[in-house]
Amino acid sequence: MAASAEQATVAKLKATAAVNDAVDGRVYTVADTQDAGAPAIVVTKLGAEGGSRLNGGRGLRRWTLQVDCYADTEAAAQALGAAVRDALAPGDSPAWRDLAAGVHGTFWEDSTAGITDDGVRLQSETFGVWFQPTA
Amino acid sequence: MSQIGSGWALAVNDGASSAFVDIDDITEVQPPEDGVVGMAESKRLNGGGVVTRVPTVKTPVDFTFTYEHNKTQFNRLDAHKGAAKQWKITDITPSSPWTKTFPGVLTSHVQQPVNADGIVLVVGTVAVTGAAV
Repeated sequence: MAASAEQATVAKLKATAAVNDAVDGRVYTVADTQDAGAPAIVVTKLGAEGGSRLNGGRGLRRWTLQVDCYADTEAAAQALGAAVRDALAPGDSPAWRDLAAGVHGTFWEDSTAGITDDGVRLQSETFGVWFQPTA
Repeated sequence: MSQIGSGWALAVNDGASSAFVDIDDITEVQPPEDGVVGMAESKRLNGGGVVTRVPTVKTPVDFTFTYEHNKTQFNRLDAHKGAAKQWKITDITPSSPWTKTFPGVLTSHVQQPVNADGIVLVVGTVAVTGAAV
């Protein structure tokens, strides 16, 4: 169960060994950390759309989440980003869908590369996650 | 006064218990018009060289509603297709709710295209068969 899309996403990434092991378990929502060091992953909620119904609805909305992958090298950041994509929305198998956790579907949207002020490499992956609170 | 959609409800009398049951997860409803008033014209009632037009009777019209698909509700409503039922639309937001009840037949009940990244919608069309109350 999860109360928010970003919490469900953090739980999913922590449960994925290829991701969690690569960052030694440092997977956070943006509310939980301001400086996670590297390597680390920070999940940020960018917004939501949909969900408006005459009777208020059942809470299913499409959330846009940004997953920032921090690493010391560009190659490591890219590999981390690829591992996150494989965990949430792989190109060759069904995307992440877990109704018990409130996740009805996941879609990869975008990928960008960058570098922080202190020289840490950053790979940002953006996803659309259809989420309905279960808690 | 209600100028936003939230707070409106559409229900159909399922018959078995003679009770109205709300249709859940409606995203859009076109409230039914009470009926289009027909007009007749008469040259015999010519008044000052102008053809006189007079109102006749109302003709019921169709209305549509759209909801998010779920199996149970789709099957329940689909079973009503072609059968005369009582439908009720309500605006619950005023202190004294505005309600209109009318007889109608569900003539069309169509699942919309299934998209990879979207909620499946169903559009129902009801032909009103008599006067609204």
